[in-house]
Amino acid sequence: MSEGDKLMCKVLIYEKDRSTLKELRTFLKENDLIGLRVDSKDILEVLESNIDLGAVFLSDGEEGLELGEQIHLIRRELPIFIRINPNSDAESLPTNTFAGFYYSGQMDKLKEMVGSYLFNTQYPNGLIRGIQEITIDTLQTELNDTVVSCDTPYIVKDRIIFGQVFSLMSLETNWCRGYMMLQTEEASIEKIIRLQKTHLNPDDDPVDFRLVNSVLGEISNRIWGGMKTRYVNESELEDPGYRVQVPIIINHEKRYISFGSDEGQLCLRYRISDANNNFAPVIIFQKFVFHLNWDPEKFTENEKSIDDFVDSGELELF
Amino acid sequence: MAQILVVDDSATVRNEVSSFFKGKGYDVATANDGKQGLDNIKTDASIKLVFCDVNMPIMDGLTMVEKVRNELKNSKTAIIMLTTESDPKMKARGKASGVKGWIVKPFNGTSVLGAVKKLIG
Repeated sequence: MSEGDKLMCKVLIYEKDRSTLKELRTFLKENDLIGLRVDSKDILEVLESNIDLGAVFLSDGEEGLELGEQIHLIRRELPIFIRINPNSDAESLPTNTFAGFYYSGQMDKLKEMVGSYLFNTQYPNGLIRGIQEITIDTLQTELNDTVVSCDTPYIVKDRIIFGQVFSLMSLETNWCRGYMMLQTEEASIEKIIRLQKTHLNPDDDPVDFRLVNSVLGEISNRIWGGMKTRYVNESELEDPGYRVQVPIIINHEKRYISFGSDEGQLCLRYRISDANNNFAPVIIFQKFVFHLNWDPEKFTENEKSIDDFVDSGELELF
Repeated sequence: MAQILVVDDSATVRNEVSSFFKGKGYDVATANDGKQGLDNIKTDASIKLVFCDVNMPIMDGLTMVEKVRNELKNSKTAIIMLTTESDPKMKARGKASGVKGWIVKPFNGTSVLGAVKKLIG
């Protein structure tokens, strides 16, 4: 797996013990984890500003237990792993709050828990790489004179929506069913519309959320179109017949979306910069939820897709 | 009165395509979905060319094309699909319905201008 399609995960760390911290540093590096180390006093603030986490690692003692309870109350979807003292009574730990415990030095056990809670879904390298290529190409085509970069893809357990506006695109192939979400900040997109970086004319209509919706909608549409060209072989599509659906619940006030599944989501974070530095970088989070079907064994990449990409934009006359 | 009609549920695409052709001196009208597009084609005989998306609410693009061919049998309006769809089966359905051409988005005005001139002058 190359750097571009490697999967990472961001974890919050509250650890007081120096030797465990040293062990954790090595552990993070070896297990594709990005650690955010926090003090007990600022942990809730850090949680507030990091809405794309995968898990929390806590230190032992009363403070660790209390923090665990608080975090569980506000971010229940984040698995919390607590390091406990060998003399502590592991049986007394509230199992609904803590996903698991480990003793200092038990990195194998921690690895097992991380694997089971965070990296339990396999994503084909070709899919992750392809999503990045298609999305970057789409963003650069839809947003003139921009430079788009993508962080290393990662897994999030958080369900909090970034920004004020997001699109939901239904994805359906013979190997996956679910949704793609694009989440961004309304004001950032409004600004790039005003700067005439999109295909919309800011003089035609007042620049407001409706135009932002249009831009995000077309970007979502183009990404899914690119994915279909590359990954969907229509002849292999099974007869849909009866299709399972589950309700998607959105809490506006809490900026929370639930697909009814505890599985981690594949997340890619794009940074759109202006080639001429006329606006602050725009951030778009792209998240994938394959909660209705995920069968990566059937994943295939269409050989013709590369030619199709070259031909896109060209008129094929009949 | 328009020579070109752009049918797409995306304001971004409608604006992109219509701005390009307006800039080249064509009269351009727009519609948000297949039903509106069909109404425009029925009521404006000056429309010579239609750029039409496939996936749209209310009425999709291929259904609109089929309705144009069935309900306006003598229509000479050329229809080009402008879509993210590249599936051969879908293209075949379009071709069978009388679609003149197929463009997989993104729209590249310069590359289609020559063909447009041939189709509508």
